[in-house]
Amino acid sequence: MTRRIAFAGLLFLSAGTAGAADCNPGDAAAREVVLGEYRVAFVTQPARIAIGNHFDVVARVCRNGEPFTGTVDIDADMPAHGHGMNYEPDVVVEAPGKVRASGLMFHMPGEWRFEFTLDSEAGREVLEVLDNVR
Amino acid sequence: MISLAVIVRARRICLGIGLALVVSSACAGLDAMGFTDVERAFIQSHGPWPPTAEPDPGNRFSGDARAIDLGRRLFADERLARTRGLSCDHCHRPDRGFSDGLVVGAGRRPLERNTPTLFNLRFNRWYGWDGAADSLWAQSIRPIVADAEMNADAAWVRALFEADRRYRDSVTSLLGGPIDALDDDDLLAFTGKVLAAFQETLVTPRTAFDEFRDAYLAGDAAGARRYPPAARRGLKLFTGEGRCSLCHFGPAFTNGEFANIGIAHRTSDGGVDRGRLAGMRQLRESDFNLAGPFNDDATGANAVSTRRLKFRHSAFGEFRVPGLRSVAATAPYMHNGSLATLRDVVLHYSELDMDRLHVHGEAILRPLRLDDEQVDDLVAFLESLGGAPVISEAGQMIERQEDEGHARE
Repeated sequence: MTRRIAFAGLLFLSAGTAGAADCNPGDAAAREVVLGEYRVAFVTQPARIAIGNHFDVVARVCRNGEPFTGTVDIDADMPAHGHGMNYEPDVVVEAPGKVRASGLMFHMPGEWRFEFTLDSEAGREVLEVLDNVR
Repeated sequence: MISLAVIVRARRICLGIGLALVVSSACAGLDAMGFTDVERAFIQSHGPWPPTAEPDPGNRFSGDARAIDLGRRLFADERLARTRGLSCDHCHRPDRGFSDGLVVGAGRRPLERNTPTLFNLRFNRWYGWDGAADSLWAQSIRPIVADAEMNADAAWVRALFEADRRYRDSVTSLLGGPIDALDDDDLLAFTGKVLAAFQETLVTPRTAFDEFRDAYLAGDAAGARRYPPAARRGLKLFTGEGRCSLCHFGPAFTNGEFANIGIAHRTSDGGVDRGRLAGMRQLRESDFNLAGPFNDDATGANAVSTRRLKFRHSAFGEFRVPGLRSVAATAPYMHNGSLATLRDVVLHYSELDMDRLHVHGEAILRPLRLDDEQVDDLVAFLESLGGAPVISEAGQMIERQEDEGHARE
């Protein structure tokens, strides 16, 4: 099994950069991270993460420009603090390559790391995005 | 194999800091106060106060004046307890910051934990030191039926309501029908909800800190300078070097969650207080949690935290991060009441014993190594978060005027 990690900061997706229509989150404010043939673009709902409030992540996950058909898990942690969230997101596939994780909560301000874990017959890929939340 | 691909560490300029930067151009006269942008953002996060208070969707009696009145009477009524001489206000004394001033609570026998204040509970997500309840009304049931505390049950409470005409009329009015329409669990939930309706009114008043915060953010240098210099220096430590604001976040000075800060988890009888780990289990097993049938929010939206709660072994030895408003009125401190004064609390963080931190303790904790003046400054800041408020005749919390022996609006 290959486990590769892509780190990204806040790369804001410009319209029209998606390889396929299903891979375009349709939101200019979406953040994206790319690792080889894998690409995750996501938004949070609400857009501004408020400390101590639940929020959702809606992600478009693609491989080679096509909707990813494997399993996607979405989690987050605070690397400098050595802990994750106190809540377990509920991850649901809404459409091919489109995943919603509900019930995330950042309970402290600081640097959080979104973690997208993609499992398929090709192995496991972990794509990470850092976000400094105040 | 692990390989790192694109590594970009762009950072968001947060909304709070962004706003602060905009305001900063109008704050030149405040520059001498020496707060960094991050400290300023934290100061902003600690208000405004009081926050907007919406009725609790899980409690259909929340905000109902009749329920508040009934809850207030029940809160002070010793007949609610089967244990002679106990009432809610026996342990949550209005003249003691709605705590009791004891190291650990005293029910039918000494309890294992310090009696927490009831200030600002309506803004909590979790209740009790271990968060075993997810609503104020559910938490209010716990001491009524606890063997070591009021030792009552639904039959006992029902008998009280039926025997006292004024209670009977109040309950009937609120229910729109007779008491016996409620089964035992419904009756306990109802009792918890009217007690919660009263406790929701215990919101602490504005403080010297709030006056400073609002003046500072508005660029009112003269107003900000009225805040005592020692408290201002303490605030800088609190929001900066001390990193206290990370957990004591937001208007109530708590992020509403749990932390292990190296306080002993052994109980006085040699047992182990598992803290949040045990609280999560109790919550899951409770018939009165928000995922259950007594939640009045038909949408279930208020149960997200309960449903999504992650069961973590790291919760062992964690206790709820308490709010700090009016903290000077609620000594002693910590879940086991082991720290007698605010100065002791500050010294605990100053001399933190890293060996006592559980392996899963908050990784950013380290001894602050404060000098005497810094300790004094932090205490001055904490004291600026309010004294011992009391309930006015109008039913609102107001600051007590110690010197004159009476309260003022």
